[in-house]
Amino acid sequence: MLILQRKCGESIMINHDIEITLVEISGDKVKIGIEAPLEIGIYRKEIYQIVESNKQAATNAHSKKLMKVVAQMKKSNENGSEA
Amino acid sequence: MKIQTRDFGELEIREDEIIHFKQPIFGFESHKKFVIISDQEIGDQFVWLQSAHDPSVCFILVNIVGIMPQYSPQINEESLQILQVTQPSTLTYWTIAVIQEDFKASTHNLKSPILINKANRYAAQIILDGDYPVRALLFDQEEEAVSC
Repeated sequence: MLILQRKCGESIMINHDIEITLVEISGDKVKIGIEAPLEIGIYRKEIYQIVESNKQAATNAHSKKLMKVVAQMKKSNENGSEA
Repeated sequence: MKIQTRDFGELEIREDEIIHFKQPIFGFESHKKFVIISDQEIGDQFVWLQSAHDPSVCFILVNIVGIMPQYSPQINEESLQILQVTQPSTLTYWTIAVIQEDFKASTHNLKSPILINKANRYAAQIILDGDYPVRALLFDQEEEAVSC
């Protein structure tokens, strides 16, 4: 990991279009400002995990399979719980 | 209005059927309007959440309370305000499923459920504070129920 030391108000550049600025430090909290092109996704890491899961969910192509399996389950449930 | 869907072709939708995401689905910030599509064969355990903006964006939602009655997460005041919830009974909980080719490996996201206020059709994906998995196996309990 590249580690750089910066003071409040100073920035680093990633490529020529992403600028990360150290905005404020207070106690164990740091405020970071990010300027980047709109199409760049920027997320807190814990949210990134959710984004990835959402993306997989939205594009998954197994919904036909879901229909089939659930319809079967429902049938066997109905048959089983009649008694 | 007519919308194109991923799995159900073209559908005629009334304005009052549209779900408005007041706090978007993470990663899908430009998709504010969705419709819920249910299928008779499947029942009310699973529904499709189809983007009204893009036919290729469609989620499968799990009626979580139906399969996990013990799932009753703490919803913070801010989320309730965003959804303008006045009566708790109008709030419905859904999880997003990831269906896998190997069906038993399918998961759903208990950490960040979708909340829909039935009263105004406002929706949000929220992140819960507790220790909930993003990828929990979906068919654990279902299978037990079936084999009983």
